[in-house]
Amino acid sequence: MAAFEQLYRDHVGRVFALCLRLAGDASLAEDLAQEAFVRAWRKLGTFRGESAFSSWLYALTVNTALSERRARRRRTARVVTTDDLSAFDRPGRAARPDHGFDLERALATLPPGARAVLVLHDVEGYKHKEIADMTGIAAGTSKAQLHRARRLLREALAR
Amino acid sequence: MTCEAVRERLDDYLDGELGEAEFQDIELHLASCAACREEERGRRAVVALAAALPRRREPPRDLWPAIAGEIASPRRFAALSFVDARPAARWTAGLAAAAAVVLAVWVASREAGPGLETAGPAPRGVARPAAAGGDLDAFAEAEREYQRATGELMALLDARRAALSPGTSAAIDENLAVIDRALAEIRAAREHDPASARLGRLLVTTHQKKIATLRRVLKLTT
Repeated sequence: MAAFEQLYRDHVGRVFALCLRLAGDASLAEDLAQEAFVRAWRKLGTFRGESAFSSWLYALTVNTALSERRARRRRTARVVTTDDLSAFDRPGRAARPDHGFDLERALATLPPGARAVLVLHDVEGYKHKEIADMTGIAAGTSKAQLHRARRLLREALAR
Repeated sequence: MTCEAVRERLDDYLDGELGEAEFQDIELHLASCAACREEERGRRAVVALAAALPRRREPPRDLWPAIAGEIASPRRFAALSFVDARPAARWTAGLAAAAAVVLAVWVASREAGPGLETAGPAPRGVARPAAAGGDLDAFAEAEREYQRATGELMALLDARRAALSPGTSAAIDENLAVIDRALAEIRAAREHDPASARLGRLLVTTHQKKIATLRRVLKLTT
C-alpha cells in the first residue's frame, strides 16, 4: 500500500488535470481521479510493464472519465450546463497575458466530445488512432471532433 | 485550391499529416490568401496554447485517504454511482502478489534512474508546427522533451541489446546515426533561420521518426 501511495503522489497531478479537462467540472474531476486510482489498484495485476506505468495509468484515467460521461448521458436526457468554472481560476492556467484568453475556461465550454478529443490530441499528445482505440470512436470522427474543437476555440480566441 | 478546401485540411496541415503534394498546395494557397493565413495563425495559436497548458494540476484536497479507504474496503466499488454495474473482479491473493511484484519492479526501476521506466507516448504536441517559428522557448522545451524521450528509449534499447544479433544491432545503430546526422544538419540550419516554420516541422518529424524507429526496434526485443 505504501508503494501505491507513492505512485498516487507521483501521478495525481497529471491524473487530476486530465480528469478536470475531460469532465469540465472540478468536483466531478476529484471523484474521477479517485476512481481512476481505485481502478488502477484493482487492475494492477494486468499491467505487464510493456508500456510505461504512467501511460497505462493515464489511459485508464481517460477510460474512467469517458465511461462516466457515457453513463451520465444515459441517465440524463437534458444537457448539463452547470459546469463549475471556478476551478480553472487557479494559478497555472494558460491565459495569454497579451491577449487575456483563458484556454482552460474556453475548453470547459466546448461540447464534451470535441473537448475530449482536443484534450487528448493537443494537450496530451495522443494520435487519432490511439484516441479511437481509447474512446471507441472512429479515427475519422476523432479528426472531425478535433477540427470542430479548434474552430470553436479559434472563434473564441478571435472575440 | 479553394479557401473552403484549405480550411478543411488546415488541421492536417498543422499536424504534419499531409502528403507532400497537398502540403505544397496549401502552402501556395496561404502565400496568396490573407484570410486563410489569418485562419491558419488563429488555429496555430489554439494548438500552441493547448500544448502549453500545464500537465499537472493538484487537486484541491488530498484524495489519498479516500482512495486508501476504498481500496481497503471490501465494498469499494459501491461508492460511485457511475461505476459499471458488472461485478467487480475479485481481489485474489494471486493478483495481489502479482501487483506487488509489478510495483516493486516499477519503483526499483524509478530509483535506478531515468530510462528504465518508460517507453511511453511521444512527447505531447508542444513541438507541432505551431511552435515552430513562433515561440522559440516553447520549441526549445519541446526539443528537450523529445531528447528526453529518445534518451529513455535509447536506455531501454541498450538494456536489451543482448536480445539482438550483432548484425541487427549494427544496422540499428547505422539507421539511428543517419537520423542523428539529419537532426544535426537541421539544427545547424535553424541556427541561421530560427523562425523557419519549415525547418521546425522538419525537426519535429525527424524526432518523431527517431522515436518511431526506436519503438519498432524495442518491439523486436520483447
